[in-house]
Parts: sequence; structure tokens; C-alpha cells
Amino acid sequence: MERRELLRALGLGAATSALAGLGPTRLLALGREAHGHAASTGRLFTTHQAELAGVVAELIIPTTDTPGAREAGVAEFMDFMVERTFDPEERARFLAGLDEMDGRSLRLTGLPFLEANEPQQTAVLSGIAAEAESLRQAGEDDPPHFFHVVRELTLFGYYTSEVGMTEELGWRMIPGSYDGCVDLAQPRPGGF
Amino acid sequence: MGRRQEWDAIVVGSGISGGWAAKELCERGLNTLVLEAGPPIDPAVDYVEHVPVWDMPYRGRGNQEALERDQFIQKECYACDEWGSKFFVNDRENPYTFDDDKPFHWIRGRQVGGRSIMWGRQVYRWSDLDFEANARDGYGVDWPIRYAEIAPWYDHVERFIGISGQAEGLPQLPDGQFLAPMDLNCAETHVRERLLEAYGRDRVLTIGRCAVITENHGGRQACHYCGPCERGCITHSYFNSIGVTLPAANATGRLTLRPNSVVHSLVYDEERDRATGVRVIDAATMATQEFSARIIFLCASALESTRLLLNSATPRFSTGLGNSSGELGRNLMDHCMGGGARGTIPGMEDQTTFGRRPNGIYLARFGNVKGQDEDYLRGFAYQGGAGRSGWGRGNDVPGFGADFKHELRTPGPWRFNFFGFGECLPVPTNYVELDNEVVDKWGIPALKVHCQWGANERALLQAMSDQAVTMLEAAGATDISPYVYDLPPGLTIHEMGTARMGRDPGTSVLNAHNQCHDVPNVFVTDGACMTSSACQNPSITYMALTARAAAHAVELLDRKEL
Repeated sequence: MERRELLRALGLGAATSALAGLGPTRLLALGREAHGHAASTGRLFTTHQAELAGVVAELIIPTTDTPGAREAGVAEFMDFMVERTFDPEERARFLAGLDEMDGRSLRLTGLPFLEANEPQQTAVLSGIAAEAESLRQAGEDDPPHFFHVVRELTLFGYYTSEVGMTEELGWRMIPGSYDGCVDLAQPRPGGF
Repeated sequence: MGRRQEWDAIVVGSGISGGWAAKELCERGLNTLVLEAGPPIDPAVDYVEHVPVWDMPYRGRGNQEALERDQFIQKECYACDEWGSKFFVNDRENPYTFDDDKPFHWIRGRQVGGRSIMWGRQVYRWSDLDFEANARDGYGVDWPIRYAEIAPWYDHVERFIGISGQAEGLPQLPDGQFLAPMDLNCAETHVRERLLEAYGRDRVLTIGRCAVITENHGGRQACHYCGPCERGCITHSYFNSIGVTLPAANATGRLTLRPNSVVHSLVYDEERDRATGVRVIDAATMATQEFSARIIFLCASALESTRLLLNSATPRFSTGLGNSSGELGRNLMDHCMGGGARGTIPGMEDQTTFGRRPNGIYLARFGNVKGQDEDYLRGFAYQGGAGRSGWGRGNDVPGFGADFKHELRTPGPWRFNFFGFGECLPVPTNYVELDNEVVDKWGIPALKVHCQWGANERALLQAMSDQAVTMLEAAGATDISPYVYDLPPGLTIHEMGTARMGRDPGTSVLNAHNQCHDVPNVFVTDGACMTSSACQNPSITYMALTARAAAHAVELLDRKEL
């Protein structure tokens, strides 16, 4: 399938009927062919840090009836963003936050974070989240607590990923029409 | 200079105004050369509206390092993002200067299509409330035209490009030739109804009037509601010159479009008292060349057209071609924007929207409409609209895990935003001149901009915020947060004036047909010509004035008066 095939389909006839023949996956693949970039690969995190980030992200946005942060590749994206967009101080704080996971877990469970079971890991992260929330309540969350940073990156990485947008939020590239007032519960084959 | 070439007409610029000049001049029989400083773009390759966010390395946040280095001004525009930054100039190659205490943001696009590629697409007619404004309060000079003279040209332009909107019968915002309006959403309909109850027809919230077609029109396909028009549109469902006016010009067989052609200056013949052509620098090779024509249309954008005239000084016009009035460069305007308020509209939690509407609401000016009632002069209008908040609210609440994720799947409350755009008074102390110490990549002197908001613009911004709060309260909103952003002039990207139209050659640069008083075969039809700014988005008025000026120019040529 060529991008120009999409252009032809879009250029002829009514939008909805012309597009009906193109599955969303193929439509999106066209965009990638024309404008795709190599997927970002981990470059900053050590293997251990990448595993910690992966577990923390999956605890924040777990797999439920839809895929979670792990399937969305959030840890790899986090690595890219921390390496490319954080200033040196932010980066150091973030890596320190990851590195502290083991110490916090040992104190609470007697096990390094990755060896703890999921309820234990949740308990460790809950403690960190509570610490962050109390700072926020006190107006002292500046620079932001590690939990708020890792959660922001997780939400951003997940809800801008293909699975996050299409499977979790029902986003589709080409809705084909606009309706200003629809029933939230009503299934929409075209997505939002 | 290289070889000379002859044309009937030269149009400088291929954007919103240049595309219209090209279409009208070609259709009226003139062999027309369109000179565009930037490169051509190929919609099939360069438009990126269907590239999903997950295919962008920074997921839409952009490479800030590159933006800081190359587009430190342009990045202030919302559309200069990870997808669209390629449609904006490189600020290092295109310098301009301003006073340290008077920042001005000059947002520019140099490519075939100009800024029509990534413009905001909102189109509102002016009324005589606007054309009579200068005469009424004494700022600036009187417009040499009234609504009745431009109305048929609004019709002409709207029929061709396709405008969607709702007729409302408001005297200060004349209705146009509308295709079917887009829907207001649930919360916007609610606010419209509450405001009608509270204010009657004085405050009618309507769907934005926009150059996005809601029905197939002129061989172009109706909008498919993918959302980000500013990244291009492969179905040409919004108006830009590449998809609409330039093809019409090309269909006549009389169009020559020459990209990568940086116009340096106009050539003026003292004996004939006419401009005879333009000097062009090839953007890539730096080779220079002259092109000649019987008439010249400057459509390079307000400040570029004026810069070109300033850089075309002659012994007779020592301060810039066509500047016997001394007004060239003066009376720079931009809409003051960013007073407003947000609030939550309770209820309607079972309802949402389908599709991504590339349009918002409009609430026409209501201050000083029936008389001078307010402490400020002139007025403002609102854009904005309602939407349910999304996953981003997860950053503002405690929590993580399955319940947290599930909560974010359902959209949050309806939030409504009234964002104001105000009229800017024309004053001579807001002006541009050539900066003789700075040149651009092609050796052309840069502009030095002197521009700041005055007391009236600041009063408008505050009133926008106050009135937005009052209306949100009337609509039953909660959690109302007013704001007044301190945004520099220029960033609204409605820069106007610096070569104003007027009746008197002693106080204006252009006449009622956008024709230079001093050099009658030069026409300036972009934002530079504007005598006042109104508060409506100006592009449709440039288009109508351009078409009108082109018709007049051809009549003059036919009568051998040029």
C-alpha cells in the first residue's frame, strides 16, 4: 500500500466510503512509511534502571482489559525523554529516584524492588506516592518529587502510544464526521 | 544582473493574498509571474496531518534544542510544533530586531503557500462599525471604503473558497456565503442558550466561521475531522493557496510560479514614473536577476511588503518607494489577545463529542456597538469553546494503578474557555524601519520593529477577562479562573498596517483600490494596507481587497491608464 493510494482514496468520492476500505492499521502504516522514525532505543538507563522504570510504569498504568505501560513501551520512551529533554540536574534527580527504589523496597519488604512481589511493589510505590502528595499539599513540590516526574512521563508515554490512544482511548486517525453531542456509552466504531 | 524577462503582472508572495492576486489576474487575462521566496512543497510528501503522535520521536513536544537554536521566535506559535516547524522560517537566516523593552514576535512562513498552509482558518467579515472606526474616534485616518464596497468581494471570495458558518443576522458581524455550519457541542449549546436568556441578541455565541468545508465544494472534499489542519490537508478541505487559488490560476495557462525567488527590491523608472519590475535573488545560488512587468502586486505579508518598499528607495523616494506621505512603516497593528476565563460547565456527564472539530466558538463584539458606552475605545470578540478534559488531569490528582487508569478512560468535566481578541489602535509610534546594521541570509537589510501595546489595548485585555467571568457565571459555570496573558504584539499573527489605505496622498500610502498614491502601477493588498485592525481575524478581508484591487488594476490596464 502506497501513501499515494491513500491520497487517491481520500481525494475521490465521499470521505467515509472512500476510507471505509482502508483499515486503520494500514492507514497508520502509510504515515509511518512516509514519515517514520527509528523507534527510540534505551541509551541512558542501565539494564537495571530500565527494568525498574518498566515495573514502576506498569504499576502506574497496569495491564487491565487493555494493554498497560509495558506493552506501550513506556520505559524505553522514558529513557529517551530523560536523556534528550531533561537538563543535567533533572536527569540526575530522576536516575537517583530510580536507584532509590531498591533501598526503599529493602527497608519495607526485605527484598530488592525487582524481587518483591506485586503487592509489595505496590506498597513501596504507594509510600513514595504519599510522600509526593504530602509535598504537593504543602506547596513544596518544587523541584517536583520523583513520583510526580515518573508518573507524568508514564501518562504521557502511555496515552501518546499506539495502544494507549487506539485501544485504551478509542482514538482513530480519521473519524470522518463530527457530532457535538453523543452518548458516552454508545459504541462508536470509528472511535473518537 | 542577469537576463530580463517581461510579464503583464508580477505578484510577490504566494500565500493568502498572493494566491488570490494570481488567480484574479490570470483569470482576467494577464500573464502573471508569482515570486515566492521559499521552496515549493509537495502535499503528498510534506503534509503531516495523518502522522500519528507515536511516530514522532518527542511525541509532539518537539526537539527543544533545535527549536531554541533555529526557531527561537517561531516556536512561540502553537503550530510551530514537532510536525509543523518545517513550515516556519529559520530565525537565524531571517533576523529582525526590536527594542529590548518592546518584544515583537514576527511569525513567518516561507514556502509556496506561505502562511496559508498553517493559518488559523477563522473568517469574519468586517462591518461599517469597523470601517468607520477611525473617523469616529480620530485614531488613524479614515478608511477610503465602506462595507458596501467590499461586500460583493466578500461574496466572491467566500463562494470560491468555501466557508462554513451559521447566519445570525448580527449587524456588527455580517453573514456571508455559508456552507453548513459545524455543530456546537453540548456544553457550547448550553452556554449559548444561557447567554441568550441573559443578554438577548446582544451576545450570540455562534459556531466559528471557518474556511473548512463541511460539504464537497469546488472539487474539494468535505472535512474528515482528523483535527490538525495546520499540518496540511491532503484532501484540501481547508483553504490554502496551494489547494485552491494557485490551481485556479494555473488552469488559465497564464501562471508562472517561481519558488526560491527572494525579491530584493522594486525597480523604479523616474522618467516614466512607474515601477518597471523587481530584483530577485535566487534563494539557493544567490544569483541575481530582474523581472519586468506592467503592474506589481505586493502580497509578501504586511511587514515583508513594507520592508520591500523601504528597501527600494530612489533619489525621488529617499525614504522608501511610495513614501511621499512619510507613513510607510507606520501604524503597525496586531490584535491584542489573551484576556479571558475558563470554567467548568456542570452536568452533561453522559455526553461527549465525536470527531475532532478544527474550529471553535465565536462571540462577536458587544462593547461600544451601539455607541461609545465603555471606558475603552472599540472592542473585542471571543473565540474558544468547550471540551471534556482528558488524561492530562491524571497529573493533578493523587493515585496510580488500575482504578486510576480506569478513571482516566472516562473524560473529565466539561471545561469552557472564552479567549478574547481585541482591536489595536493605529498609532504612528508603532512602526518599522530598516535596520542598517543587520542583514538576512540574502544580504537584505532586516527590519527593526518598534511596537508595544498602549493603554487601550491593556484596558481591552482586562475587560475581556472581566466579561468572560461575568458570562461564565451567567452560564452557571463553576471553578471559574480568569486570566490576562501578557503576550507580545506579533504573536497573534494578525500584523496589519505600515502602508495604509486612505483618501489623502499626504497621509496614506495606498488609495481606495490598494494602489500606491505615488507609484500607480504598484498595489499592496496584504495586511500592510490595513487602515485599522477591527477585532476580527483579518485574512478574509485581505482576500476580498486583493480580488477587488486586481479587478481594478485590469480595468486600468484596459483603459490604458497604467
